[in-house]
Amino acid sequence: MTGKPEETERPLKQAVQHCVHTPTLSDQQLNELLDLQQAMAPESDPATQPKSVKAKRLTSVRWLAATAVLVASLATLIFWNTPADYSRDIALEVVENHLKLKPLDVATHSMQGLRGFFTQLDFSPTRSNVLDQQFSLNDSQLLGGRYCSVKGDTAAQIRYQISTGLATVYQVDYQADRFGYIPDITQGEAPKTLTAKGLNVSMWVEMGLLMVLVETP
Amino acid sequence: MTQPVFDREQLQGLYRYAMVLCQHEQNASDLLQASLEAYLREIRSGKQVLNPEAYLRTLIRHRFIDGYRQQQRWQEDRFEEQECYDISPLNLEQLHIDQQQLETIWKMLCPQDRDILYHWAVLGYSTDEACELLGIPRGTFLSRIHRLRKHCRKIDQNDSGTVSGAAL
Repeated sequence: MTGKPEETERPLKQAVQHCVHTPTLSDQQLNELLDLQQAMAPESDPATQPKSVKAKRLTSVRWLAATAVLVASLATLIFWNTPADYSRDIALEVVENHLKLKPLDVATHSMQGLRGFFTQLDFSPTRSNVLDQQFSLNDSQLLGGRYCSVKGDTAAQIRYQISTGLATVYQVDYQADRFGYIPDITQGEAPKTLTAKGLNVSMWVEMGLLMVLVETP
Repeated sequence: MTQPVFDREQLQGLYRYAMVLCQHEQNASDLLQASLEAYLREIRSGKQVLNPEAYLRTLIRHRFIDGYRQQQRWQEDRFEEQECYDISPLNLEQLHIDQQQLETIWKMLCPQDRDILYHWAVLGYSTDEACELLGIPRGTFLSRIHRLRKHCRKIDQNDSGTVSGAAL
């Protein structure tokens, strides 16, 4: 064993490889070992499956569960961040007030007169451009007003005389979480219209106030 | 029918490793089969193995050590720096040997030496890596190589009729 090769010598590595690679298993021995693997292979029956397979399944189940939780969380997030639509509830409530009219608290033909009366509100009743321009209601048709409530919040009910009878307008401080999504005309949106108990109801947000108009068709 | 974990080529390689340790065909075959059974039992019980071939090789080695420790064929001694051995530039890559000579002494080498040489020559580990993998101190390995070279030298001298003791 030297560092300088002689004619009959070869690198130690090659010599070792030759020594190692000489013995081989016979075909019969190989087949026995292959059969052994087949015989002891993990069974497909879930009850007898090895833990590794079960663990993989468990991992898959965990992934599914995690995905489900994630989807549910996202859905909840979207749900909570999407303003609820209470327009139907609001419409039914104000229509109820419209149908069961109570005596006016104040009779006046001017918005100034109304403002002077509604001192208990945490907002000031406002002349609406939408009423004037889209529904042709102006101070000349104004009859007066009274306190009422919309979804528990104190509101002003303002009555107008129209050709088909009476129109009532409800004004209340708008809060999105309380009244849900209502079109805001300052954002270029059009009033939302729906029908409840045979009456036309239109609602919109204007100057920070929720305004609802109920009129006989 | 499921695909076997080890194909024919892998089984041949593992058998050769068992032969490196045993140097006895029937014992090597038995060692491989027993280790394979142990491996398959572990897999069935849920053991996760990233490299089945390397893992089975380790099982073979441990089983061999367990089986032969009682016969004191597995040397636990350690030849550390206090051992007097030649640590002159040892680069196995540069060593040359007569094939016939190696085959003569191959069976006489202790299993640990064959194990290291197998990891170096066949599996492609560096000698340092092989020592670390097999848990053999570098000094122990150097001393063994030193003894191997000495052994070869004796054979050379006996063949040439000279007195042993000449320097390599």
